[in-house]
Amino acid sequence: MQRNAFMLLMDEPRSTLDPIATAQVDELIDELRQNYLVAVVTHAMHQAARVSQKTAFLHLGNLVEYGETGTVFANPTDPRTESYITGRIG
Amino acid sequence: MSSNQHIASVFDRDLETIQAQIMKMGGLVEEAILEAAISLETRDEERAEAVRKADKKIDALEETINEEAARVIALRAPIAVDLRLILSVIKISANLERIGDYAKNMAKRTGVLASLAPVSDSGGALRRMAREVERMLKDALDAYVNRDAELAQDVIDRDMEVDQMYNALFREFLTFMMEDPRNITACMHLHFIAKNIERMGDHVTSIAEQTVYLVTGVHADENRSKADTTSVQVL
Repeated sequence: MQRNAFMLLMDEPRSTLDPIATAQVDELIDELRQNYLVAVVTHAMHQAARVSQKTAFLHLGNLVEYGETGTVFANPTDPRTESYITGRIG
Repeated sequence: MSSNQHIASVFDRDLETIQAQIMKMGGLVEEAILEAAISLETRDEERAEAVRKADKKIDALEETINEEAARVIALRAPIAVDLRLILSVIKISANLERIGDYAKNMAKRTGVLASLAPVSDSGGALRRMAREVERMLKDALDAYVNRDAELAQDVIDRDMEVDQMYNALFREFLTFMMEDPRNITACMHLHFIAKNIERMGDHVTSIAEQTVYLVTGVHADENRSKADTTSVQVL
């Protein structure tokens, strides 16, 4: 980790991990966010919902929706977000 | 780009199955309401007994639906509209089960009322009230299956008419009791039946509210006006 970094970017942090290792990564993210801005890029919807406070849904290079994680996952405003997070489009 | 079909089609089949069970349960409850009201009006104890027995099927379906909902939550971890759908299924099955219980209670009281002198046209008035609730339930279930928030809102608004019918009957039964104390036993039973039907209307309204939430993601206005004023007025 770079000295004086203020932001940490994690790219698919649960890729190929088993459930216990995934839970450990979740814990680590929670710990790190006390001191860093943590941005997680993931296709794992449930991990995204668990570890984040804000969620952005990007599709084909465009920002489709951004908001509070609770809102985006419970009641998204854009039908493309809903179709993606519920597994209707890939 | 948005789609109605899941990539995993087995998930769609799970959701369709559980909704089909809700519609089946709804059909049984509609029948229970009508049959209980007819058996009351015609003082038909055999028909009332059939309503009481049929309630077991409604209770069993609620169990099945809840087990299926728990299975879907455990296996599919639904989110967004899928989560709202599963939550609505659990709540609607509880509402339907309760309406079934009220119909069963009506049928129980039919036996006692059949042994007492009839009170005016109260049976007909209660049947009309029950018929209105049954129509509301049919529309609420149609709104649910067709994801029609407008029809669901119409059902919510119509509950006020049921409340007004209950108010009118409450006053009528009070008058009969004051006129002749020999009417008290029958009127008390009839009043409980009227209250049961009024509560059925509230549960139907709750089903319609679930549809509004499922479709829009926003809860229906909780501050809807209610016309049952009997608990706050001296008559």
